[in-house]
Amino acid sequence: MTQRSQKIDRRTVLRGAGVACALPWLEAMSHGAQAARQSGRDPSDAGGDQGPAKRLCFVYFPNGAGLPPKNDPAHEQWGWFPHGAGADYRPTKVLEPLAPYRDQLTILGGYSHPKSRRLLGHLAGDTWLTGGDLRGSAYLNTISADQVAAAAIGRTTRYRSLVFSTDGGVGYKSRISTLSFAAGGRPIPAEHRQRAIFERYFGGPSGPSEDRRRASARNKKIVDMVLEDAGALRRGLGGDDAQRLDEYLEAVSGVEEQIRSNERWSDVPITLPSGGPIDGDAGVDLNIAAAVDPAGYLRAMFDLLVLAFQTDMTRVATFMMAREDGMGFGENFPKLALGIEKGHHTISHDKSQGHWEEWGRYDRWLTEQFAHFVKRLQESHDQHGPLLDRTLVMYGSACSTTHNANNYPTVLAGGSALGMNHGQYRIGQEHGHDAPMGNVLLTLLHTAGVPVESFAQSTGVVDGLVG
Amino acid sequence: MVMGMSPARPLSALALLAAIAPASHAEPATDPHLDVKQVLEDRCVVCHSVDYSEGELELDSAIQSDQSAAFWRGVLERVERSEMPPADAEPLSAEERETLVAALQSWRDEALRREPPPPLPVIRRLTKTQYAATLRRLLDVPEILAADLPEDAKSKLGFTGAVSAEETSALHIEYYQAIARRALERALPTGPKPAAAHYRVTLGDEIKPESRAAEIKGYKGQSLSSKHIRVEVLGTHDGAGDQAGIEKHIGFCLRGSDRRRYSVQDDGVLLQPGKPHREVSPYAWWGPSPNLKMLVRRHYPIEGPFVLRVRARPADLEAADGETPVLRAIIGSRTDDGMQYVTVGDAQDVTPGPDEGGWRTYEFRGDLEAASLDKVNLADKNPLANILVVGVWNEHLAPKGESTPALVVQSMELELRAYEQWPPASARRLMPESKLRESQEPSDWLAYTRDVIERFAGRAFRRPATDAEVDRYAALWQAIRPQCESYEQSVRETLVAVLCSPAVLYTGAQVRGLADAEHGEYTLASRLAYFLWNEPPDDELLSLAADGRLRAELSTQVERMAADPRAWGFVRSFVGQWLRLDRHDAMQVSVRKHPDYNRYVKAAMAEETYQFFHHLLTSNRPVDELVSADYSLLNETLARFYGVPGVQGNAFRPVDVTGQRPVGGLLGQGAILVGHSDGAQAHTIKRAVWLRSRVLGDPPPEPPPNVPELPEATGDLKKLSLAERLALHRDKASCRSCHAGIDPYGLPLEQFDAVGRPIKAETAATLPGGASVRDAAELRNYLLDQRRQDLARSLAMHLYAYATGIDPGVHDDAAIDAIAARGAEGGTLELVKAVAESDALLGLPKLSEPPQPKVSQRAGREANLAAQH
Repeated sequence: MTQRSQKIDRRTVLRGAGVACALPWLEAMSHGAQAARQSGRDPSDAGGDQGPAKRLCFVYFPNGAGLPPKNDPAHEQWGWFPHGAGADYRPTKVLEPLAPYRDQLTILGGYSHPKSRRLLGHLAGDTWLTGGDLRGSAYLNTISADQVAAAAIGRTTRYRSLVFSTDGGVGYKSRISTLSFAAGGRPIPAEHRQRAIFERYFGGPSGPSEDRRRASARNKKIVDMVLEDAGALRRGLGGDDAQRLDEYLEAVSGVEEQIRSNERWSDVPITLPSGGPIDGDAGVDLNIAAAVDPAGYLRAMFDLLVLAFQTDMTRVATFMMAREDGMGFGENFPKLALGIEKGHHTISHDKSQGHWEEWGRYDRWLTEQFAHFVKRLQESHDQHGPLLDRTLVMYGSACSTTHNANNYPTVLAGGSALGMNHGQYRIGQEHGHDAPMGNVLLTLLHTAGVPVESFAQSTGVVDGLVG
Repeated sequence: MVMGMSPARPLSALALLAAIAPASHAEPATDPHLDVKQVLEDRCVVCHSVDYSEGELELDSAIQSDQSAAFWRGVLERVERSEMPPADAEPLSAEERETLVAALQSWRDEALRREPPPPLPVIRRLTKTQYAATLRRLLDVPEILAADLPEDAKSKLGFTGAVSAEETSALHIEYYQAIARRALERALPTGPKPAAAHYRVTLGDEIKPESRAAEIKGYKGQSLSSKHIRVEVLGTHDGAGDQAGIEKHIGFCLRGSDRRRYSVQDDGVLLQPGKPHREVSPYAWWGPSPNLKMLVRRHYPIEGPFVLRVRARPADLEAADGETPVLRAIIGSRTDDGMQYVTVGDAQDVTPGPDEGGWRTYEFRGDLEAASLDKVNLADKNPLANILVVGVWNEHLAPKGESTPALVVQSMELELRAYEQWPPASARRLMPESKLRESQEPSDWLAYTRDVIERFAGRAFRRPATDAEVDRYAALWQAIRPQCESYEQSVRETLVAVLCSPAVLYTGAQVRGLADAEHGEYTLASRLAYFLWNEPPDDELLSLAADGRLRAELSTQVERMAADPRAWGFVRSFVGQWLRLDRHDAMQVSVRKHPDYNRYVKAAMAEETYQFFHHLLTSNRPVDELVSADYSLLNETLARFYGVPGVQGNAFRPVDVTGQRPVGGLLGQGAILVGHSDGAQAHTIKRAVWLRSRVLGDPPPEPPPNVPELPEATGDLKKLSLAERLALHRDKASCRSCHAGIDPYGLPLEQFDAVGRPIKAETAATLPGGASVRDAAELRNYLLDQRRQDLARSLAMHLYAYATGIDPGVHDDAAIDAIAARGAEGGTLELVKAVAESDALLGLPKLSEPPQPKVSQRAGREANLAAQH
C-alpha cells in the first residue's frame, strides 16, 4: 500500500511540475471524468451491470470532395453534397451507396472550424477533431474530441481509445497522419499494421494467469525503474529538452496506468456478444497491403473497429483513411482501385475534361468503403441490439474543395438509440457564415455521455439533431 | 504574397515618413540616413503600409517598433532575391539596393544582439532506424524487430530526429519494452539448441527420386514435375507435426516464367536472364521470367537465422567478360494468388567454380523475421495455405528478352534456424562463462550479475555505467528474481529495463557520476555516429572518448567515418529525406504509358541518387557538382532505360552522360523526376517547388486558401497543354506574383517525361530576376552562374538541420553561412566536417545542477570497457 501511494504522488508531482499544457486538459476533463467515475463500472467488480455502451467513432478522408459548379453537367450527379435539403434531399451518385441507411444517418453541410477557415485546406486536416489554431507560426493544436471522450467514457473498457490510420505514426505537423491529439495538441501516433493491431488487442492474454500476474509484476518494476531514470535525467535539463522529456515521462506513466488496467482485466476473457471467444483471426484478413488492394485494406480496418466495439475493447476510435496533400498510401488509391491514372491529390486539382466525374467516382468509391463499415455495424449486434444504434460515427473531411477549409463534407451515422434524429440533410449557418464545426463535435460528445460545456469554439449544439 | 499592382501613393504614408526615425535602430555603417528613408518611402511603403497592408506587411509601423531578427531577415531575403519590388514594378537601382540591404542587415543584426538565441538541444531521442540499428549492433538481432514502433514524425524540413518532431507516446514505450524483450529473447535464449529444419533438393532430368515431391499448383501454378526433384530431409524443427513424408510438402514452382526461358537439363535447371514483367499483378509479384522457387508447405519455423546454399554454374563456362549471370535469392510466402518476398543478402555473380563441371556453392544468409511469415496454421488444410517460398533467379536482367548469359541451378539447400553455435555468440557475449556463474553461492551470483549488467549497460548507454546505475539495476534484478522462472530470465528482464532507459533511447542524457568533460566526449561520440552512420558509435570512437581525445581528433575521425561502409546509413537517411525520395518510392507510375518502368528501374533510380551523393562525399567532390556534374551513377538496368550505351552489369559507376542526357547531376536523376511527376506526365509545379525548396533552400510560400482554380479545360482551352493552362493561370493578377516565382523553375524540367526520359516539350522560361532559359541545361547554367552560393547554403542548411535536430532559424544563419563557405571552398566532405565541428553539434550547455565528479573505480570501469571490445 505504501508503494502505491508513492506512485500516485510521483505522478501528481510529474503532472504538476511537468506539462503546463496539460492543464487545460485537466480542466476540461474534470466534469467528464467525474461523470465517468460516478457512472462507470470498474471491471474488477465483475458481474456488475455494465450499462449499455455509448460509442464514438471518427473516420476521415483527405483532400476534400468534388463540388462541380451549378453550370457544369457533372453538377447533377457527381457533386458530393445532395440536392435539396431537409428530409427531402436527393443524394447524387457520390453518397448513393449510403442510401440503404438513409433513416440512420444525417448529411451535414455548412460547418467548419472558425480558426481553420483561412488555412490551406490540407492543414485543416490537423484540426478536424480539435478546432486548434494553426494560423500563426506556432503550432497551437489542442486535444481532439475523441480523446476528450476517451478520458470520460473510455475508463470502463480495456483501452480508452483506438487510433488507426492507413499510414500510421503521426506524419508531420500540418500534414498529419493521425486524427487524435492528446492534451496540449500533441499528436498520438496511429497504428496501421493490421496483424500487429490484431495481436495487440485481440490476441488476448496467453498462458496461465499466475504467469501473467508475475509478468505484470515484473513489468511494473521495469516501468518504475524507467520512470526513476527519466526523473533523474529530467533534473539536469531545461527549456525544450525538459519539455520533451516530460512527454516521455508522461508516456511512461501512461504505460504504468495501462499495466494496472490490464491487471484488472487479466482474468476477464475477451468475448464476443455471443459469449464465445474470438475464433482465429475473427474472419478479418490481416495480410492485405494498402499499396496493393486499397478496398481490402480499408475494409479490414473497419472490420477491426467493428470487432473492437463488439468485444467492448474500447468505445472510442478514430481512423484516418488517407493523408492530405498527396502523401502516403491513399494517393495511389484511385489508380489501384479505379484505374484512374492520377493520384487523389492530383485529381482534386485537375481541370482536364471529365475531371469532375473522375473526382466524383473516387468520392463515391470512398463512400462505398464507409458504407461497408455502416453495414457491418448494422449487422453486428451486442446484447442491446445492432452496434450502429449505439455508435455515433462521423465521416468526412476538413475541406470542401481542395484548398477551401469550409463547408466540410460530413456524414453522421448511427446512434438512433442514443437519441439521434436522422434522415435529413442539414445545412449549418451562423451570421452568414458556416456554423462552427465545434457544434457538431459538441453534439456528438453530449450524446455519447461526455458532459463538456463547450468544445472547439462551439456556440451550442446542432438544433434538432438530438432529442 | 504581394501583388504587383501599385496603388496611388497614399498621403498618410507620406505623413508617416516624417516619423520614420528608427531611433532604437543602429545606423547602418554605409548609410546616409536619409537615403534609407527615401528608398523605403519610394519603393516599399507605397504598398506595405498600415493603410494598404499588402501581404499583411506594414513596414511603416514595423520600422518604429522593435521587430524580431526573423522579421528583418524575411524582408531582407525578399529584396536580396529580387522578389521585391515585384516584377511589374521598376527594379531597384544598384544604389537603392545597396542602401536598403545594408540597412536591413544592420537592423537584423541589432535585433539578433537583443534576442537571446534559443538554447541548443541537449537530448535527442533515437529515430526508429537508429533504434533498430542500435539493437542490431548490441544484440545481433535483425532490424525488422523494431518494425512495430510507430513511424517517426518529421519536421517541417522533412527530417526525422528533429527535436521539434519528437513525439513520445505510451504506444512508443510499450513497443520499446516489447521489442527489447523480443530482441533479448532472441539474443539470449534459454534451453537447448532448437532443431533446424534442413532440406536439400537436387534438380535434374535424370533424378529418378525414391519418393515423390509435392506438385503445388493453384492459380497459374507452374510446378516442376516431381520426377525432376529429389528431396532430402536432413533435419526437422520442433513441433512440425508428423516428420515422415515431409518430402510430399516440398516442391518447385516457376509461376510467372515463360516456358521458353528455362529448361530442365540432366544436371539441373537452366535459367535464362530474368526478363522483368510489366508492373501488372499478378505477374509482377512472381519474380521476373524465369524464376525458380522452392515451396515448403507447413514444415517451417517463422523465426531465427537461415541459410540458403545454391549450387550453380554459368551455362556457358567460356563466356566473355560482361556476360556473367547473377544469382538473386529471395524469401517470402505464397499469398492468395501472388507472393510476398524480400531479397536475401546481395546478388552474387555466377562464375565457373572450382568443382568439376564448374559448379560452386553460393550461400545466402538472412533472418526469417524479415520475411514476415505468418505462423503456420495447422487447422488450415487448404493445400495452398502455409507455404514458404525460397527462390532464385538470374538477375542479369534481359529487358528485351535476351537468352544469355544463362545459369544452371543443380541444388538448393535450405537450413532454417541455422545457428552456427549454441548458445549463440550474442549470448556468450552477454553472459560469458565464468566460475561465478557456476557457483552455488548467492553472493557470487550477485557479483556475476553485476558484471553482466555493467558490461551490457556500458555498451547500451554508449558510455560507462556508473556504480550507482549498476547498483540500481542489480537491485531491480534482486526484486524481480522471485517472479522469474529461471536465472536467465531474471537477467534478461533486467536487461530489458536497461534497454528502456532514457540513456539508451536518448543521446546527450547526462548522469550523475560522470564529469562534464567525459559526458561531452561520450555524447560527441554518439552524436557523430548517429549523424554519419545512423548507428551507435564503434569501439574506436568510444575509446577515443574514454581517453578524452575525440574532440581533438574530430577531423580525422570524420574522414574515417565517411570512408566507412556504415556511411551508407547516413547517405540513405539524409539524402532520402533531403531530396524527398519517399515521393519516388510512393509514386505509382502509369504502366500503360510507361510499360518498361519496372521495379528494377525504380530501385536503380533511387540507388542512382544515393550513389551520386556517396560519390560526392567520399571523393570530396565540389559541392557545385550536385548540379554541374556531367556524369551520373548508373548500372546496366538504368543505363538501358535512359538509353545510355556501354554500361554492363549491376554495379553502379560514374558514367559521362554528355550528349546522352540533357543534364547530369540532380536535375537529371530519375528518382527526383519521377517522384515529382504525377505518374503519367511531368509535373511542372512539383518539380519547381522541389528545386526551390531542396536545392536552393528557398521554399515558395504555401498556396493561399481559396486559391483560384486553373481555368477549366473546356471550349477552346481543351486544346491547351497543362503548361499553357498554367500560363493562363499565371496571367491572372492574383496568381502572378506567386507563380512567376515558381513555374519557371519547373518548365525547363519538362524536358523530362514522368519517368525521367527526354521528350520534346515547351521548356522556355523567364526566371525571377529576368534570366531566360530554354531548357534544363540552361537552367543548370543559370543555377551555377547566379545561384551558386544558394546551392552550397541549401546543402549546409539541410545537413545542419539533419545533424543537430534543430529547425534552423535566424540565430543559426551565421553558423550555416560559415559551413556553406567552407563547403564551397573545400568540397562535400569538408562541408560535412564543418557541420560536425559546429557548436550545435559539439556544444553542451552547462547543466543547471553540476554533477559530482567521482573518481573511484572509474579507471577500473574504463579498463573493463576497453577489455570487452
